[in-house]
Amino acid sequence: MFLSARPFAGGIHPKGFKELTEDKYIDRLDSPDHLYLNLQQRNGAKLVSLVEVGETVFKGQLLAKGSSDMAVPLHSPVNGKLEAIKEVTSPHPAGLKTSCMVLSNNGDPRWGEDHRPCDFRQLTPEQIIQKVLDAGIVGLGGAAFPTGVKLRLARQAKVHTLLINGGECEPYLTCDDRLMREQAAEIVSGVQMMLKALGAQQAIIAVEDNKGEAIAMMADAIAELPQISLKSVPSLYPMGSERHLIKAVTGEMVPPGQLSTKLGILVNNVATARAVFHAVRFSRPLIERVITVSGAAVEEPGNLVVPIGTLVSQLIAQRGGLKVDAARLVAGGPMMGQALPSPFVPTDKSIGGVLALTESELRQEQSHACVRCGSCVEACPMGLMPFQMAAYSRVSDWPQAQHFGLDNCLLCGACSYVCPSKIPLVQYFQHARGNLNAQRSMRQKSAHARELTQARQLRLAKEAEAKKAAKAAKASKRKRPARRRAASGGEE
Amino acid sequence: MMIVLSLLALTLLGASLGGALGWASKTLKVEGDPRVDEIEAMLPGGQCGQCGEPGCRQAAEKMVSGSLSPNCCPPGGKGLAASVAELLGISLNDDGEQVTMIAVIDESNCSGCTRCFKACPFDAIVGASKQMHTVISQVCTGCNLCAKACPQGCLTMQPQAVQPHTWNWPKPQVA
Repeated sequence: MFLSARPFAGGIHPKGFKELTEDKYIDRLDSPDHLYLNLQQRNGAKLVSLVEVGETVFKGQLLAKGSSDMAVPLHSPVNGKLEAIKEVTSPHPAGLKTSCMVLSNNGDPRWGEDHRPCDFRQLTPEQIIQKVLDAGIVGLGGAAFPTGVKLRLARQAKVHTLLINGGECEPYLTCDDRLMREQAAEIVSGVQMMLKALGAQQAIIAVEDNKGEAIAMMADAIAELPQISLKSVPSLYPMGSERHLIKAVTGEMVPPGQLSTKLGILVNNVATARAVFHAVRFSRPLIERVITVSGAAVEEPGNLVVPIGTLVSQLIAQRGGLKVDAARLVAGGPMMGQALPSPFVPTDKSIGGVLALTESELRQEQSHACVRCGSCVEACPMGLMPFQMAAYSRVSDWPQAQHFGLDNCLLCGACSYVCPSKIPLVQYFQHARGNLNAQRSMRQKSAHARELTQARQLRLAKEAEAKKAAKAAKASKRKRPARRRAASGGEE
Repeated sequence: MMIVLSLLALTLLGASLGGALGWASKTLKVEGDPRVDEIEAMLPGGQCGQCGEPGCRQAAEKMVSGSLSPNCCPPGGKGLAASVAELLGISLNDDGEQVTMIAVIDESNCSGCTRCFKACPFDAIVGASKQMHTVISQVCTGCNLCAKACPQGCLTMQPQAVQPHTWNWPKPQVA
């Protein structure tokens, strides 16, 4: 009976810690002095700066763009000046440096250009998608996939349902919850715009049932809109995963290795919907987002509206600083977030939370041998056998790990959370996946190299032939002129 | 009579089978191991000689015969080693972290002699006579042929810088 009540197989109930921040209004970060905008995106795409160092920039100005729609354009979050383009430590677990634009801020909060509010009903779907692309919007749930590209692909796949993800199943994070409570109307407008862009029939906003106030506010906002419905889903980690939300709402399973558009469903986050509203209605690019600053080491945990590129240290300082030593800083939630190498790294569009965790909130580091208890198998929301995948990853047998479903793993961390032996299962999977990716890209590179040598050999052969032909032609044509030239040479 | 008949039958049988075998050995002859062709098709084909063989064909032959390990080809890297090992049905111990080397030109010292450009089997170097040359790092396989050709000594092989999207989690160190 209990099992039948579960919205999907597996999943865990981690302690929420949401009470730290969920009842406080979203604050605005005091305007930071400097901002650091990363020119290299997480997917590896590089952006090219459109302004020179020393140039004045205005709020909302397009600063950098890439060569394709997968490289999301960057806009200036402030009025000020481009101070430098230099290597800055990025919010990456290894603390690698990437090329960043360093902006100074003059504190003027006005937008550089004012746009007349635009009625989305008068736009074509393609125009809406173009506005979303131009605004540099990415999925704000954490994956940071370009939203415009997603909308375009879903439109081509003839999606019929837009599912809005208000799951927010990660512990500590309340930024989506607060946004739904405070900006329900904007979210709903964004949803209507996306519906028009997609040509979909209906939208369902799914919210976990532990967010009662958010559900009430959203229900109010959609009261007179028959196309949009609201669904409360049980709170169970990882409800925020696209596949699991779809299963909980519609009862359908996305086949492994397929996208949700296969079922005619597109999933977008609530914060993304709000960003779409600002982009379409006011032509405002994505230059800020709500970030939860929480954890037991933070003096006053809370949510902040943060310009993209603000240093993590400034976020923590605004929330009163640290009251005790933080054992670890995390970008994102504690389950899937990444450890930050230092507090002096800039936030980017994909970071929805900054946690300063104390020693007691961290898991014991000491791990033991696997006892074959099967807890991880029960917890795995994808129905995999994590202990088996980890065992193969440990001996570097990637094909076997893949055979046991490594490619379908969400890296959600449910298995690591329940493991009584404290085995760092997810790190094994990350390691194995990274190796498989490296192999794949090496294979591509080597295939490309082969093509290049073949092309080169062809080209050299052609060149040699052309030379020969030219020589022959010259020799046959040139009998007399050659003699004449020889004669003139003799005269000199 | 019986003896004569059986002798005849056996002789005929022997002669026809022998003839068939002789014909088959000529017409159905296999030139070398077909796996050599398959492996050669997988190799990058730069003929760089880093494996110690004169060319990729010879390397493929040695790999099939077992005297060369599948991970002997630096330009092919781990991906190639894994696919060759799979084809040959042997296991690889690839725990050692392989560092990809790529050519880097100190552009301020480049004289534009075009020798590196001519030496590169992959067209990974761009430049022209008496102009600065540079390496397209995404294409460079680290075959080292250009470094040997450079008379200025301004072309060196350097480990490829780790990028955030190519960085990989280390294997957990657990007891």
